[in-house]
Amino acid sequence: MRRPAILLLLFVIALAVPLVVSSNYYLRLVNLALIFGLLAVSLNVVLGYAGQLSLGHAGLFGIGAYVTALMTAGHSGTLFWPAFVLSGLVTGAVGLLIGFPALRLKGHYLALATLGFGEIMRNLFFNWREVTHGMDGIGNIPPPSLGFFAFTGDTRFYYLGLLMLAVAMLLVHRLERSKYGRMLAAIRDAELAAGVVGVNVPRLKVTAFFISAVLAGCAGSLYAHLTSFISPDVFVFDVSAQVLSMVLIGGIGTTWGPVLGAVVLTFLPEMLRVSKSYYQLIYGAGIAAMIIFFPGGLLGMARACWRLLVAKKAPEDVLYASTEPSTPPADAMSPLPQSRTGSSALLVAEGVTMRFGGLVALKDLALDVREGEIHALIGPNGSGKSTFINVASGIYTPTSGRIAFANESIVGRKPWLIAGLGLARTFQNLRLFQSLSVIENVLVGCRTSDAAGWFGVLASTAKAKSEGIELQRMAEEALNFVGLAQFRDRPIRTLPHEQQRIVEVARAIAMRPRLIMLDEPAAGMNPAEVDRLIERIRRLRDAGMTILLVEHNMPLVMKVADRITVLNHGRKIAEGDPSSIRDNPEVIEAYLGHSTRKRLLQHAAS
Amino acid sequence: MKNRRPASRHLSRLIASVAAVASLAIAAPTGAAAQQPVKVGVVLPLTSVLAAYGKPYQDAMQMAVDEANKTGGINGRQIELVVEDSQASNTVAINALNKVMQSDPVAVFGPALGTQILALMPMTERDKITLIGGPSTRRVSQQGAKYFFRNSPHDAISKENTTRFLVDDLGKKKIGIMHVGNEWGYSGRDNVTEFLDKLYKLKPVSIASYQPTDKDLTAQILQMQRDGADAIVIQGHPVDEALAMRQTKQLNVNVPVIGSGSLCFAYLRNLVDPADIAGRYCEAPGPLPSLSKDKSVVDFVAAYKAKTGFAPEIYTLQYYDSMGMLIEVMRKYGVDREKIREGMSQLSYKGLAGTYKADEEGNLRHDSVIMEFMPDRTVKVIREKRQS
Amino acid sequence: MAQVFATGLAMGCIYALVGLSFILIYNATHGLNFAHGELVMLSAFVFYSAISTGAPYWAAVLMTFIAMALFGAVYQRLLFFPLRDRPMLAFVIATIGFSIFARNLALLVWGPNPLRVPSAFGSSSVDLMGVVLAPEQLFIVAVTICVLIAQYAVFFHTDLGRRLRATAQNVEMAQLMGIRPNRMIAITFVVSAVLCGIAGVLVAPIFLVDTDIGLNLILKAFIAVIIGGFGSVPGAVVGGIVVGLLEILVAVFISSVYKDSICFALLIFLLIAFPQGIFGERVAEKA
Repeated sequence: MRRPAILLLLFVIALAVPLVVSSNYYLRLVNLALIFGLLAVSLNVVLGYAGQLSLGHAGLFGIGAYVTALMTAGHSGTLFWPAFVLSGLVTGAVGLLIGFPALRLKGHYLALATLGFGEIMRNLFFNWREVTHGMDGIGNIPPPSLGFFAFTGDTRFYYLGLLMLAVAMLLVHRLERSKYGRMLAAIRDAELAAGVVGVNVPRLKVTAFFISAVLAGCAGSLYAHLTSFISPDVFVFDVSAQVLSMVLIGGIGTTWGPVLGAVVLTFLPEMLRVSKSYYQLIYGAGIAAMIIFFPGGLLGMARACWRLLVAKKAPEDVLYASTEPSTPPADAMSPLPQSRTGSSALLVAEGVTMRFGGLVALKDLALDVREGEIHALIGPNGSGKSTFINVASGIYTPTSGRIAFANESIVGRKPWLIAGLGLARTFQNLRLFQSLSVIENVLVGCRTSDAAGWFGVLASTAKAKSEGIELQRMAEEALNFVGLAQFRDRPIRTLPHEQQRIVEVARAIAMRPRLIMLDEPAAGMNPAEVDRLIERIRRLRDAGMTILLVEHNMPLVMKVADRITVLNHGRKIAEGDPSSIRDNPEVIEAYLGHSTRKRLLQHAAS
Repeated sequence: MKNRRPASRHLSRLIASVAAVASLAIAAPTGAAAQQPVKVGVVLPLTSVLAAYGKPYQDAMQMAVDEANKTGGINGRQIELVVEDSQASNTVAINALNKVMQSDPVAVFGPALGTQILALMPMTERDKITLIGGPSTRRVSQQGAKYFFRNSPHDAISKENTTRFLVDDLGKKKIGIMHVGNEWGYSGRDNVTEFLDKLYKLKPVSIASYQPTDKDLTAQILQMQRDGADAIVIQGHPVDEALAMRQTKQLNVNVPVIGSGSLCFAYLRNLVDPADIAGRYCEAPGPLPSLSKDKSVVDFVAAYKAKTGFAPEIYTLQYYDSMGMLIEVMRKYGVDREKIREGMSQLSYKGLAGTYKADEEGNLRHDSVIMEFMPDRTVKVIREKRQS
Repeated sequence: MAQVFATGLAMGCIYALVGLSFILIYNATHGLNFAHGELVMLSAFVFYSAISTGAPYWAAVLMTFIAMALFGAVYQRLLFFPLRDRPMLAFVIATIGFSIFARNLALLVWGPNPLRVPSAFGSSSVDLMGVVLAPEQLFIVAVTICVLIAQYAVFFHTDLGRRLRATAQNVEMAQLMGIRPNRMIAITFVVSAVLCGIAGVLVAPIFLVDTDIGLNLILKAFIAVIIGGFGSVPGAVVGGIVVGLLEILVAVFISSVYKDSICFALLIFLLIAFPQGIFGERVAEKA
């Protein structure tokens, strides 16, 4: 309830700014802060939400400024409106162009590629004189005008800039809180996992670049109309670096942080002017110091202070595992919507071979998982179990062979398409979306049959709202089913290991899959936890799911598996029910070894 | 983790004290004095790589102001310079001008950079305040600005002289042009090309540009040689013109090479080995101040050297002179902004570098000289074009 | 033509030195040091001051190296150490902040005017079968070769080198083997700063010294390390030479205006076509 009050207060303060700040100088700084705020919000979409580093935002900013300047210079200010829209769209199109390379590049490679883009744009702005007029720049850019009312002067411009920034922040905030925001966070935290829970990774990344570029272009357009003269020296790497600092110093991945950072970094050097020749020196050191001393950015620090001073609430404690077995509610997850196929084999692999250079990880493997069974895939380390799951979930494309799921070939299909067919998986080493809460992790896996699109989400239509509620319900069902409902709002990292593994399962079953592949779900668990896991796996099957289980924990496999396939060096060496595998001499000699065999027999006896 | 806490506390104290200083500075201008000084704004690049085009001018103007204040100021009122840094960025230049305008100056001096002047001009025109600066790009004074005055000759003046020198005096017909790829370089290229065509119906045989960050001009010099240029005009910045002198020497280019005023700067700042520059020429708005026998110039050079440790170049002298002209205008016409504009456009002022008299575009200076660097490390004026 | 190659090779060696020292820090810390060009700039200024004291050339060089070694240690302690457990981006921004700081520090200490460091060779040139070569260019190539040999000898034939490489490959594992990674990282920064010192001493006489000389060098070094493949030491060297040759060939045969654009376009193309670089590391996320 406090939030609306704070927003209202901020709104009133924002409206009153030109009344309080009368000098042109300070108002111009405020206006620059608005424009750089918009640019920082734009960078935050790719950097903060999608986790893609861009060092070329000055280039995008410049494209927006030049498009609007070329259209309107020397003309009426009413041309601003179409020019503003066109700036956004043209820049957005360029954003798509740099978004596609971004699909193949990560981390520092993307950073340097975007830096290269920025340098190329700078070079063009400077030297393509026929269009940009080079260093002569473009002048006579009119103030925006409605025809009867022109936004001349910094006071009037302020309200226009404020409106634009507020709209951008609102849209970006909606994006952040929407399913798309969660998907972007998923890509940022664990791209592979995002893919296998059905997130179309490239499409979303490119969309993030597009949105970011549109906003940067709009910021550029506003800048051109504010200063009425543009020249290439404004759109250089220093500006990209400055905007990056704004996002990081303000608070990356937050709605307000980038704007706060823009205000601080716009005013800071101007305030430091009192120190005359030292001010740039202090400014540079200040940026480094703020990064070092405020890890969460200024917004993070402000929130921490707020908690300490006002709320007096200690940071959340680490949650300890309850020793009680989790008791899922009686109304377990309703049976899955998909009807059973006629054929009993749900996943069929034939002659699958997977080579990595000289290494053969899978050799001519044939495997079929029947509808409704719990099928275990076992074998010593390096026998190709996880490789098979990676091949089946679309992370690797097999060198040769056929894999069909529900009678459809999935070889060469992207992970999110395979996930869409109803094939889910978990990861051996946890791949959760660390920055999200438990329920948000699960929500990434949820899909409705009638999904709202980008427009719906940004415009917050009734359909998008009802979809949101529906998704929430589905995620809660999944959490109830695995018995984690009480932790729904916990940050993932505060959960103990066992619970984290279960969240991965919940995320997978939230997709309502027909087949779920569990990759060593018992890794790192103690016997009591394993017992609870066995219970959960059985419940999955009871709910109608087929299970492919990769596991080292033999007692677990022997207890739950209907059928077992044994791999060794990428080849299948045995297949059958637990008792036949237990008694299969080849398996025992080649894989289990003598001592294990003895233990196995003891287990069977007990 | 453990040592972060005291450090951040220390930092917050630092921020608090910076904020306190800053708020004092904001409050300061409201304090009124009995006899208020006349304020003149100065917006120049004082940091960044362009600082070399700001600090010397600031020093020279301060000298002019100090001298005037000693002799009574403006009818008893002292003159005060309000200086702000424009860096190498138009955004910052506009902020700096806004900051300067807060203290309500009667006139403003701007940088010798065309693009920054173009960015500042809409604001000074709007506020009807005189802007004086020294960019050489012709276009700057063709914007129809009423309040802009240029204290340095523009490129059409200097390049006409250069072109006539090369063709008439040296008898060269195959001119090659090397220039830096920004508005300064392009302006030089376009003006030489124009005068070659207009005066002699000639075309440059070779044109090569380079980026301001380039340190190696081998490709461009080889292009000049390949295209058979028998004289080379260079328009660049001090560093790259100095490098061009050195590299043409190393590559055994024996045709005449003529640099821009930047080369004088490079020579004065000792950026070129005297052996590399011997026999090369440069074009400038006037002879090197240190060559002058004129007593007042000699005195200025000595005083400037004492203050900064460097010999002044001609552009520094022009900023000194134009400040002197502004002071005389204020004394004769008054300190009203409109009166100052009127005075600047009417007065003929005799400065150390020569005569200052506005034409209809607001150009105050119309001189150009060609100098030759001699093997004995001296400089000789070999062609002069003075305002009649 | 030979002329063009010789010049390109000399410039390429400079890029290679900068790229190499950049990669050393990257390998040890996975941090991108955006202030790397400023290290070269500072060393050029320091070298200028050392020469100005009237000290002989070799003594001035030595003073520069010592200053840079100290600087490398301090830089590591103040800038990298507090950020060692934070995301890569934090270090990037901190180094960008530092580069603003360093440029303005140089401006305050050495003034706004560019400075000339007298060349040890004058402006004489060597005529080799019709190719006019500046002695500095030959010197640069010779020094780069010596540095590479020394670097190879230290990294592959000394105990210290093995420790440094172990730390670069796997910090935790190195720690288990009794290596103190923080000390190794500090040594890496010192070595890298001294390499920047070498680059600074080499470029000071041929570039003239101003606050901007680092910027262009680091941009070209970025292209060099991308061409060579991130993390590869021989790759950085080959990449540097390729960039040096490429930019002059483009300037001669295509366009001196769009030379840098073409180099960067090539960088982007290379990144997309060969994400691993020519010698490079794998970038794909492991499943």
